[in-house]
Amino acid sequence: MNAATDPAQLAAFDARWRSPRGWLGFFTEVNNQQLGIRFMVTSLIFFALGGAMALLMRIQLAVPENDFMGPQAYNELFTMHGSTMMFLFAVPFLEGLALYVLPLMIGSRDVAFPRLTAFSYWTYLFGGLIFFCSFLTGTPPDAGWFAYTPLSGPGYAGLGMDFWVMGLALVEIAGLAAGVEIVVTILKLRAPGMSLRRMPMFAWTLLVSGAMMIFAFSVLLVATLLLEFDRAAGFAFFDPVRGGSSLLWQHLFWFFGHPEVYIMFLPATGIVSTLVTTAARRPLAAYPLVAMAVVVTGFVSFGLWMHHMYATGLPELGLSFFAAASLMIGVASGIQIFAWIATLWGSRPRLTVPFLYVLGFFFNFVLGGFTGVMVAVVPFDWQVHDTFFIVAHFHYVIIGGVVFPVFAALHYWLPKVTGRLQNERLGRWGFWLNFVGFNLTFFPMHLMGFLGLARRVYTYPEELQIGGYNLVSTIGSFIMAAGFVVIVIDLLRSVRRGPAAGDNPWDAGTLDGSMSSPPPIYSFLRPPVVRSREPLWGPVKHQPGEPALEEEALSERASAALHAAPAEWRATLATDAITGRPSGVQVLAEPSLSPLLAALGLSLAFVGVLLKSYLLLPLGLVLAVSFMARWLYPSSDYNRMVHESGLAKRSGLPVLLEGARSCSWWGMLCFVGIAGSAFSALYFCYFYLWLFAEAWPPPDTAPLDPLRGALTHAPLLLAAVAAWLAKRRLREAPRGPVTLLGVACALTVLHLGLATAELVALPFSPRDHSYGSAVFVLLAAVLAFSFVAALLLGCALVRSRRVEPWDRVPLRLQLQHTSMFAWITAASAAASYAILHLAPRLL
Amino acid sequence: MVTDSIRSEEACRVPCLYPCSSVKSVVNNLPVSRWTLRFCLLGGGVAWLVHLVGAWAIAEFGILGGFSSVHTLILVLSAAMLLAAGAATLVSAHVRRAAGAETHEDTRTVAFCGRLGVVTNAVFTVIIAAQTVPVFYFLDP
Repeated sequence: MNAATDPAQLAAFDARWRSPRGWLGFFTEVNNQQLGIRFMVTSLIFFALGGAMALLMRIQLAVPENDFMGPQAYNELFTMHGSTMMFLFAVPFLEGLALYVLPLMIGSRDVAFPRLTAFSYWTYLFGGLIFFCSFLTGTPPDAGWFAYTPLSGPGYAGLGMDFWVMGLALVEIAGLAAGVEIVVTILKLRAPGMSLRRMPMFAWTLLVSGAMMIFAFSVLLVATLLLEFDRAAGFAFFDPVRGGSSLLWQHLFWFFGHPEVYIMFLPATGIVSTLVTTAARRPLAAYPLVAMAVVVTGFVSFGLWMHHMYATGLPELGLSFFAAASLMIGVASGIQIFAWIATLWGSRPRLTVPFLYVLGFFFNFVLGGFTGVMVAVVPFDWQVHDTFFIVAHFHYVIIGGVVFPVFAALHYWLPKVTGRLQNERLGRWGFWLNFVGFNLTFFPMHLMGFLGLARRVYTYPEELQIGGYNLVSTIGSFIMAAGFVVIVIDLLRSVRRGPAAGDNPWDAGTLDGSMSSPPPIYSFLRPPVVRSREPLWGPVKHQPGEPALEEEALSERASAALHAAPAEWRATLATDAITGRPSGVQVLAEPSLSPLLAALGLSLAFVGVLLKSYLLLPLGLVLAVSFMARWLYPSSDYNRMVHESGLAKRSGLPVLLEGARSCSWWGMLCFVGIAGSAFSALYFCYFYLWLFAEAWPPPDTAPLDPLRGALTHAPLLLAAVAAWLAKRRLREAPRGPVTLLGVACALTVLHLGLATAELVALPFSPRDHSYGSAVFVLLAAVLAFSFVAALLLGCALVRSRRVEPWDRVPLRLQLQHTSMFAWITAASAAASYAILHLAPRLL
Repeated sequence: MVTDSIRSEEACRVPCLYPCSSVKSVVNNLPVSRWTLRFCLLGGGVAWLVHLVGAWAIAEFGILGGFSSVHTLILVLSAAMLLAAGAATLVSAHVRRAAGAETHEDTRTVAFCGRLGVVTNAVFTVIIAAQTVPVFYFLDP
């Protein structure tokens, strides 16, 4: 795809995309390939640590009444093992893989928001380090990876739990950033011609998974922050004595926790679809049905959270809905399995190492799926709840359904990353050790569960007569560990001594096969024009008799204009989300220290909470906000350079984008999703606590003043209207919006003052009762949004005072964002007002 | 926002491959509107999600709150969401038909979305119906 071009032009283009050398380059890196590799390597290190903890647990359980470790150490290990594998390995690895492979597969030069990717990586790294720092203080968390309250509350868990909560909150922010990144990249940066129906299945799965991350991670972020409010500030969300509810935590956690499984599983199925297609050398069978199954799985996974709570005494009518949904999701997974079988049927797949892992996935995942259908049935679940049967089930789903495809992906795409092939014999050894070891480890756990072995208990009596099963399981775990070591040796060996991989070692049909191995830092010198679902196999030109497609000529022109250009700034082609037609030239961000410093500031704030050093908290937040503002603040000189580059004329496409053409508009839409689900989680908390309260508000609590509430929040609504009018006014006159923006800004600042006064003067303490906690947090959340809205409006006001011709489109885009944010803030204020002031009077 | 960008003065001044009228066609030259496409792709899923969360909330809050018409409310909700998912299926079938002869990549994409919508929404219609069945079981005293 990368045709030759003028060497001087090529050198300038290459230089534009390279990061500075040395440490500065390391810290300012924003390139998707480099950050993708960092994500994958970091997550594999965490995987090794989590695996080592699992081995220690298996040693403890190898024989009955073992005293290798005590109950406290066992609690800490299973907590850290589960948390590490779920939060620090599986999702981040797939994020890294997506960052590396996705742009190559969809024909983009980079992801949509390179600096957000860097911020996501640093936040993830710092979150993981905070997580593991709990070992240094000698108090690792011990309440399980699900951190059920009250076990994780201030009465039972020590400092280790604060490390867990704060580390996890940072990792969630990283996940949210990655989710936005993935969704917008897939929707906006596909190659010209890559309509929805031509999108690789891996991209479909990542799109759904990214959207799920946006909705699921925001709920978990709210849950962890509420838990920290309870722990650090003495709030009462999860304390039943003060009107809180322990089950509330379970609802919030599992509303995230179950989709989390599918957030990992769906990209894994995308990997399998890619590998099956390549192995069979034919297009994926029933492509629309598989896409449907992916979409259905994404939706249904949000309706399964209750099946983790069958044993908590919920109304049976409610349980029946979730049992039905839990059974239905098997249909969607089944469709994918049958599509893969149909694709392979009659083909002669090459039994390469990646494909061996795919076969291993089929065997293990189908077994895990069957036991999943079993535990979806309420009476069966009651029998095996909290036994080793459940441990076996979810390891078959997660290792069989996610880790095996991850290993397949490692073998499949590593030659692309390193340019070197791995050793086939070592690869096969690695596979068989993993496959045999895995089944030896986890299959006996089904039987042990039936025989009554409870999970999360550090030992078991000899009379249970399951010592033999446990010993086999422990031996299996060491075989599996040996398999992982073989994979690592093979990986390291291949980087140094492997034979050259060539551009397309597996003869794949997707665009990544068109790149050299390793690919250039800018991926595509000339953006490809896609004409079929497998561009490297399908027709590269029109079929005889097929009508000439006008848009192909247009795509070719745009693509030709971007051949080794521009050399002064980074750019890629933006396309329409549905049809894949070129819609503009998307400017991409340059290397910057700001993402790292913003992540450091945020981590500092979280460490401040952790250490109860409340000076660090505002300091960290100010740092984070300052560096984010610095990274987002547009440069007029840069706009001028882009405007005057002549690329618009050559490509026939706008270079300064606004509205739905621009990636950042879509990013803002994702943010609306995040804010919406976070506020919905808070409203859910309020009503849930109300449901179980004897009286709401509690007796002897002074009521909130509805008039004062209305007067406090009304300015926000007016500010949103003013911001919207300012956006419209900009069309008529460049300096038109100044007054309106000034009014909007003043109204928001007025709201900040009034809302702060209302919060300070609340007639009750948030520590006394869950009602007070809920009211305080709802008002504080609106206040936080109002603060950000004031910043955005202030920034827009400053920029709109002097508008050069090249700044008009970026300013319009900025006003679109600001207006959208002002509306979100006003809507959250209105909803909070209705819930706090009107609902108690009406219901 | 799409329309905003089309109407914008600057968009017309840009030496664009798609002059103003055809910018509109790039965005809107589809046989159906974008809202129809969104409803076709997501309507059934959203209806199902509303049904599940709504039915659970009515069951949980209604039963614990001592509300007497829990079953009736759930049945009304189920009927409404079945209608919504069914409507999404029919709209998807219409989208599929509206794509016509599929001679153009855009119309092929619309036809694909229509096919995808028919199957997805039909599946969600079936799931909503299946999830409503237990309500009748629990109606039995």
